[in-house]
Amino acid sequence: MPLPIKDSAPVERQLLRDVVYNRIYEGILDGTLEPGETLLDEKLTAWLGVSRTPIREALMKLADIGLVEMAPNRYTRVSPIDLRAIDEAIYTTGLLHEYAARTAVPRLDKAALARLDKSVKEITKHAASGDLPALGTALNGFFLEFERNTDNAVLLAVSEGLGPQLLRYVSVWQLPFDTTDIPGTIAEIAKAARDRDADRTADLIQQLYAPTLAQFLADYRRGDAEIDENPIV
Amino acid sequence: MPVPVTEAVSPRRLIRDEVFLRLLDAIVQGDLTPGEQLYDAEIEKWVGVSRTPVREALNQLAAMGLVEIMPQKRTRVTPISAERVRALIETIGVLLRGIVRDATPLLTDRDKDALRAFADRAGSGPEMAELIRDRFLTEGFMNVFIRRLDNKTIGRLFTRHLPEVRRAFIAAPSTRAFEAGVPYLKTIVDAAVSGDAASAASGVGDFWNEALGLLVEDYSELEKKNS
Repeated sequence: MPLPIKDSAPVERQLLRDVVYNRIYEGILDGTLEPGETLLDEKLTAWLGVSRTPIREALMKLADIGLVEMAPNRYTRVSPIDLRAIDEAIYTTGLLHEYAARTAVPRLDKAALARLDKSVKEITKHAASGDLPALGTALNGFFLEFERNTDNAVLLAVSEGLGPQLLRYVSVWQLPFDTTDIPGTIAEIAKAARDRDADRTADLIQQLYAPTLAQFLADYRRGDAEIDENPIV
Repeated sequence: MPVPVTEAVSPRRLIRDEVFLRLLDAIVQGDLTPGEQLYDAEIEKWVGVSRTPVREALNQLAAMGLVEIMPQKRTRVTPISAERVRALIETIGVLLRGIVRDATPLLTDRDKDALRAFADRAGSGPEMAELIRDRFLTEGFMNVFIRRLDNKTIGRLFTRHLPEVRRAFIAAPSTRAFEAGVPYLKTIVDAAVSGDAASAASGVGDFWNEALGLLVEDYSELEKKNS
């Protein structure tokens, strides 16, 4: 799932619907469009100065990644913040990051290690200043570096696709990990990667994510009668 | 697959879903073949609906990787590529391994019965290939663990990506991957039923890497032959 394109193609080369998609995507993540807010076509056409078709296409794509909810003939709205969905997304990315690290660490090149270090510095800085949205983005970028080096486009796309849900947790930040020292933990993971110790890197990631599962089981998992009979349709 | 929203029943929605499901089934089962060009007019005639729901269904299938839309040029069923099959199987395998590890301690007696019934039916390789066509692996096996863990996000990811995997299973050049996989499936079920989460999870890893690795090899060889 494409994250907002910042520096690649010049604007006129991008498809209009991608431009529209990126504007609404960023609007939702930075809070310009609030959780639960109704999205009216005419307001969006006025805001973005484009016709209805690219807007509908962009909204369908945003519905696909869970940022927008569409109930035909009733409403289209920014998805309300759903703590359960956020917890699920964190658990899921934990599995993917752990595997990606185990696979990718032996083949990280100098440039990749440098990007990890840069992310550690950003994470430390944003944690110190309490800039939570920036901290969330930096954490996401740190872990995705492993996926980018796995040589698996699907793994990367699925991890990136969960990004929006993860980045929304900053608006309801309740310490996603069971540690008060996020920069310290991340620095330790980066060091294990630099030492080419794939198993240690992956184990540290697993430990970091383990409390999410415990929380999910305690707070959100439903009883037998309430679960859909077929979660995979 | 769109995130489930409150069920609002509108005729338009139903038409779109109907078109989507018919196309999805035809692509997964191979009635529409990999690489086949798709013409809006033909689909409209086939399903008996107008252009808008057809385009919406095609967009949804494109998001799932089953259809390629090149604006102003052509729309076709995505060809099966060995690399894509490898990447999909690896990714689904990672998630499934985690789910089996974490859901095994939660399994109920009814879940265990369902898994035993699955292992009993798994049979030989060629039979297995037939069963997979009928969503047997999805419904008899994966669903038990995913349902018990109750992680809707993973349910949605599987709903989105499994059709492409199933298409590759159904179109498999040989059944050797399934033949190799059956013993692993039995190991996984035995371990899960006895509550041994670590062994069940590593069994999933073996099934995915060792057995399904053969499927990826089959597709790579087929690509080499055809190039």
